[in-house]
Amino acid sequence: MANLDAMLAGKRILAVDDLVESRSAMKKMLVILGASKVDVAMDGDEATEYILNNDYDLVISDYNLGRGRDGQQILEEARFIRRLKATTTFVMLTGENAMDMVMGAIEYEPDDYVTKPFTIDIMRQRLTRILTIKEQLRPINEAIDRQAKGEVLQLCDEYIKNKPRLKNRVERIKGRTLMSLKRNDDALALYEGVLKDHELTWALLGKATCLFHNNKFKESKELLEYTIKLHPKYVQCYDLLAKIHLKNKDLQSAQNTLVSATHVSPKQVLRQMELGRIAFANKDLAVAEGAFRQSVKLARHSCYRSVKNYLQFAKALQHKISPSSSRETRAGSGDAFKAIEEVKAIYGDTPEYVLEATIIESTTYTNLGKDADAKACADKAEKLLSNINDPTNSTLLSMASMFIATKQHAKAQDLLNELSKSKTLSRSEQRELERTKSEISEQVVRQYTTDINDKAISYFERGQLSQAIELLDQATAYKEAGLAVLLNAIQVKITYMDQRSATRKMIDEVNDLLRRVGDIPSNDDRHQRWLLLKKSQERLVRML
Amino acid sequence: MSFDINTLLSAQLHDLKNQMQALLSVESELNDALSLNPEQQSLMEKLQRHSNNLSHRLVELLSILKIQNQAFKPNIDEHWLMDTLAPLSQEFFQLHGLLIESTFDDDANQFYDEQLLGIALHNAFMNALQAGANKISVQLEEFDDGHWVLTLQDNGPGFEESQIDDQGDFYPNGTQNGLGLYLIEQALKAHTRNGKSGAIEINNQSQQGALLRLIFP
Repeated sequence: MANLDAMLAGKRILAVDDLVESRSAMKKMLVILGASKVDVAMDGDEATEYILNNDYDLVISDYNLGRGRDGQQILEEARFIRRLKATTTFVMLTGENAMDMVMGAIEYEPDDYVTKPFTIDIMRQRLTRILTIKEQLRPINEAIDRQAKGEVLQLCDEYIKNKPRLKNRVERIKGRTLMSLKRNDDALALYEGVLKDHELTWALLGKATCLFHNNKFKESKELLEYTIKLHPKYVQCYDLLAKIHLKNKDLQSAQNTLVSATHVSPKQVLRQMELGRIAFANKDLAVAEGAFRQSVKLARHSCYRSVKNYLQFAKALQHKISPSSSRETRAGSGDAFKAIEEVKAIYGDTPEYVLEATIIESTTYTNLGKDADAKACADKAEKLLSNINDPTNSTLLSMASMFIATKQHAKAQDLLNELSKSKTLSRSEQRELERTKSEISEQVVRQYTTDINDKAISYFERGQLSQAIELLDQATAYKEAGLAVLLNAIQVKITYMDQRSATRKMIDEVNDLLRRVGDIPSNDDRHQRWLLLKKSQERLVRML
Repeated sequence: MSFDINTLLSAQLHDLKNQMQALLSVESELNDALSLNPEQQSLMEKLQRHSNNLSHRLVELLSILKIQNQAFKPNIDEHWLMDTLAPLSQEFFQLHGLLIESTFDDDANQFYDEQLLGIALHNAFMNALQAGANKISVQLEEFDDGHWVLTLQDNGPGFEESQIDDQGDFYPNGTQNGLGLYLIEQALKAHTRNGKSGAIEINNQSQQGALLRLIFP
């Protein structure tokens, strides 16, 4: 048997356990076994911190780390952000039956599991074997770290042929690599070959994944359901199953599947986020709220922390908030404002995120019935938007909804008109655009144009014609502008041309306005005025 | 809600197991904190070994409860035989002086449910010990069609002839068959492959001692 002393000497090791006694016992044990550089971490946060700042050769982590993230999550996150190389060994300690443990994704499996309690002799034996195998696999793992996938496949074939004891491990790597190269048929053949001999969970999931990528959703679904029956804790199967439901446009089943998965494994951030997203689309806001709440909590100190989590959470909370001072409203608005503040604190450097947070803040105030606060936030948001070069369609849609909620329908209309010219609208954004448009009240826009009109009249009366024209141009830009506004706009422009000189541009503008006015019947009070304006326009045209 | 005895038992056992682990941890701390003379040290180690044994037995009880439960599904995966055998060899030698020798390499690996094989081996060793054996050899045979066999031979008095004749009926009957062989058989039967199930065979060696074959499909 290889010498563990020599294998551990000089290796950088991280030991993770939530219990202080276990931590010190593990460190002591590792030192006795020959290790010299051992760091210890007490939970997922500390472990991630260590992993971010050091290059470890070996990580030994307890699976169950109390209330925080578990060992599997540490592993997944570290591999996700590529802070653990393929050549790094990860050993999971578990006090439970392997069946009770939630298995991770195919690409995030530990190198081995060791069941607690263990003696130093057992640990010596297990570590020796694990590190020996890892050393044997080093050429393959180095190729993985170099992203040299062709070389990985070539080495895998050599190993499968020449090292039968390592066949199972190498086949896993080969399957993964084939899938990452989108060689689904080759991966499928490999998994089917493995399954002929043993119904191994990783091969079942691998086969189901290949079938999924080959658009064979029905077969993939059946295989996943079978695998879940065999291994209810193989939580990755639920994720793929949910994807199949989504492909089949069955959002409710996708949601139900992910709810089951979160019962099995409640601490996985990405899954909670996906559940929140789907439940939100299903308008199941209570489930969405719960899922986003978990995502925010779990991701706070992890690599999965994202602004979307906070924003979606704050959005999902809105269903609880009303102008009443109920407990639910207080809790909901309290959580929403907290999430918004966190976004501003963490992502303050990114105006796009601050804008989105401000929009939700305004919505929260609207739902609370605090219209003045809502309007103040909307004004802030408007200012922020003016500093953003290329706002996303979804941000603009949210802005439009916010304008409507704060009774600024005309502004909403402007935004939506601009947005409907965009060629990058997705189908769902298009639907959202139509829905938002339908919320705009013509009456409110008309009122807005009338307000502008009143201001324009005062400019006109003071002889400030240019300013009056500018305002009336704004007012008449809305199709809802009323007859009085249109006539005023015509009158101001004609007066302007009378005082200065007629221009082709302004003549055309007046013609447009007259067309919009149409015929005013003789019994209408404004008939005479309209006739006079038309005559003046004809005169100006002749003079041109 | 209906009264579920299995859940209740399982919860109690889990709790016991956790308490046992806490006890083991305290024993270990105590051992580090005290400076004991050799005689006291030997007693302390014996205490720790017995506690360890109790802890293993509790884990085993949990597994038995699972086997009894219809929902039990074996978790067949690749394991290294030495990983399963070594802790048991150590325990039986330290606690009972039973010498367990294996003839296969450290890197011998196979596909099986580690906990089930652990239960099978534990019971087999306990049977041998109770029958009066003090030495067991464990051999591995691997076949081209993928099936494999662990053969356990001890230096005890061997099985009763009637037990060998009744091969295939290991159900505990209170007189001749205890729980041991039945549990071993159940652990093997839970292993299936290509429509075949695992099985056990018992026999006596020509010279002396019992021979137990654990046949994995």
